[in-house]
Amino acid sequence: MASVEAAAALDRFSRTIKERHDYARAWKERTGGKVVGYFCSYVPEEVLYALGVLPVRVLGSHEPQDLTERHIFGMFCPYSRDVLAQGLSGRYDYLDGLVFAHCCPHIRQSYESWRIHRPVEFSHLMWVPSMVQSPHAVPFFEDGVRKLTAAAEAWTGKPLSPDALGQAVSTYNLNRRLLAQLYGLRKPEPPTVTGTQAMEVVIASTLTDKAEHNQWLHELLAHPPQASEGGVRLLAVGSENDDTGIIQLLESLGGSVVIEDNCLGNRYFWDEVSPDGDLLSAVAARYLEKPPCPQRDIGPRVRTSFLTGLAREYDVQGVVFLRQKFCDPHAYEVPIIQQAFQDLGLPTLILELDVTTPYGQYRTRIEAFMEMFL
Amino acid sequence: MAVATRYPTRPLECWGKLRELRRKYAKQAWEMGEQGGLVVAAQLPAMPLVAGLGEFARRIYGAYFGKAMREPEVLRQFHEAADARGFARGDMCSSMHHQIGQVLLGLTQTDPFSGISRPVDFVFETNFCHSAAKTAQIAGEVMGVPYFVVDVPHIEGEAARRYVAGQLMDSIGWLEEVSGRTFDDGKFVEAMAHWWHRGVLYARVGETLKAIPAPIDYWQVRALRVPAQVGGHTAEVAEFYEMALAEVEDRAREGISAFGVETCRLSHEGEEMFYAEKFMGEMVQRYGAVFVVGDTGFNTGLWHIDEDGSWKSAPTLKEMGLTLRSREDAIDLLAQALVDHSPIFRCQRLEEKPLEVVKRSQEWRSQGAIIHMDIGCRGMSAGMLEARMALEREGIPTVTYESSNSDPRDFTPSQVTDRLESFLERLGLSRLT
Ligand code: SF4
Ligand code: SF4
Repeated sequence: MASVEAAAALDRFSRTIKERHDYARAWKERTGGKVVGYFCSYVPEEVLYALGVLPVRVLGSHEPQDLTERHIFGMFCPYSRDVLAQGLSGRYDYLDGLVFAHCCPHIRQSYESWRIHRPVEFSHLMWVPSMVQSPHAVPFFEDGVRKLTAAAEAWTGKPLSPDALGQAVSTYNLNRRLLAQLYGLRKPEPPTVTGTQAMEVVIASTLTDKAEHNQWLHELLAHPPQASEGGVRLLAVGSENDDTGIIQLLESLGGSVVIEDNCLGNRYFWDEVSPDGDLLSAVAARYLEKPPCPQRDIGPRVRTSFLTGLAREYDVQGVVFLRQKFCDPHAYEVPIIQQAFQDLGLPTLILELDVTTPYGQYRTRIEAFMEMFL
Repeated sequence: MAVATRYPTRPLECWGKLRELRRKYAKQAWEMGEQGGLVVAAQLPAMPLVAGLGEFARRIYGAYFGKAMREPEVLRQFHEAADARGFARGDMCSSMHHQIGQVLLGLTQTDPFSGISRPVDFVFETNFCHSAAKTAQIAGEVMGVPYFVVDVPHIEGEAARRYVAGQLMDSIGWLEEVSGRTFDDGKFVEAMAHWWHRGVLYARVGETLKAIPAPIDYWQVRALRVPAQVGGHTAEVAEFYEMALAEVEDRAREGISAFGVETCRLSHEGEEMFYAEKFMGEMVQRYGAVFVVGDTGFNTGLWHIDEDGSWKSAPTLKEMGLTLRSREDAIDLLAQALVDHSPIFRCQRLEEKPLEVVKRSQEWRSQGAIIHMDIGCRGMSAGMLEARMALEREGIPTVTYESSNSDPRDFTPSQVTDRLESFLERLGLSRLT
């Protein structure tokens, strides 16, 4: 049950997602700053933010489209095609720049085709090492962070001052800390924040000026919802997922998504930048030391223990894999991780996400899954 | 209608040696363990480094690859083994999918000749494509052997080379630890020199196809790659490419063509259909066309790629005036080779791909491009449609066909034939009588 204050605070986040283009345009008008669209949670946003740039994550719209066929194969993931469709359709025409951190070839294609066919003032590609355990990974990524910094400085005409970077890091760290507090509200039974609400808060964070988002979070945490209806405690693991509808569906059918693992959820804000020492190095280290996505887990596998640890910490009863169709980085790990959960006696369900998700069909499958917990 | 342009032709003499080497290395992949050598499982290991440990053989995860490609029923069983374990067929590389099936069935460690168990010592892979890195991880876990993946960024620059060099250097300690052997710098340096040399020579074989008529066709170049992949660190393989290059250069000088007719020159972009290797080449030959250039057929070579996208064979060590003297020298060169000179490690550098595809087509004088929309490959398929548009802009006609490199269930020969025939007719070609 959400109090009037909590409901109003929560509503801001969901409205921001729906009205994200208006939000960014208004921000631009208000501040006179530049807006950069970015493609992966490994983009070190702090650097851009410190230069007065608003980084916003580019998301899909979940509407059928026919703009991308000439540019990207049909068997590339729906998320990457949907994102590209947004760019090609001009919905992001207010963006001044695009920044891409290499995640996989699918989304690299979206960035590349967008850049070619809808050129922006500033575009920058950086590589993210996959072998994050290597002692050479952080120095290499740091080099990438410094190159992004230099390019963005040249573009904005501003040098990055240590004070501005320090301020940006502390604003971002505060955001991470507040989101972690919010996630603490998902631990009790029943959780006071639903999975859908938590997802909306995090997605909104990727679209909003962090200082403002922090303010909104303070207000929400000052008057948190009292309790949700609860349900079967679920962990949702998967690819990028900006479709709150599927979480809503799970929660409307008796599930309660108490924790997730994806880059628009926990992995977006987990772990802070250490404020000590050289800040650009610390920024680089934070991104490579946060819980990895499957693409960054090619050494001795760490995701299995991280995910089973999450399941324990959030007292999960079942696991739902929400995998974008054709998403091979996740396809290579689902059977392994699924086995680990099954070994713990946790039932699992795999659902494939598409540009438009077949809710009708999934309703039946989810209902059957929920019956396992009766 | 184009008139069929005829040239003299004769069989390629180095096929005999090629077959001999193929047989030798195929046998070695299974017998090496018992001969006291090491067996490394990988798709594309950094071969010269492993050679620092002494004698070794490389076995791919799908050790029954050849049999699977000849026998669709066998291939289907491998795919089904992966499906049964939950690896989604349509959602991953189809080559890796059936190879994972083989790993799960225990075949990577079962000798096809005797049926007895022949273990793999470790997995040592390069991340030329994320599919290979993830498969290495699965293979290591399933077989219960140590694995190491060298991450190679698909991006240019000194920092990328340093990152790779650092990992290669670290891998030496790991290799010593898992093999219980002492790494011999001398052997590594020697293997590196051979490996570099065979890569340069292989690329030069590809370059001879710029001649009109092409002395051999693109698929023949591709067929020549096997020794480079299985024994590229050895002197005998480098010598084989000396021989092959001398032969194709002679053919080019003498005007000897691949098949006797070359009415039209074509390029092929994308992975081949491993189970229908001859389909493409034979199909266009019926129209007097010859494939002369492409990506995967050339990517075993070492190339120097200019900023304008043009591909030239990399220089030999002698041409560079370079003598490898130490472990550090060899590591630097290997890192440079992987980041800058091996096209497979550039397959996701999408910003460069359209330019390179256009330039290659122009320099090899291709008159049309056939592009594989490979539903079983993300790595090389990326960037292909933008490359297609770039080709069309430059006036090079294109056609796409859909199938999968390693799953004949996604290949409908009649449909592909129809598409290609109408494309060839669009180019003004007609069936040879
Ligand atoms: S959902 Fe998967 S395939 Fe798509 S961009 Fe993300 S990691 Fe790549
Ligand atoms: S490049 Fe294509 S065929 Fe090769 S491993 Fe990657 S996805 Fe598979």
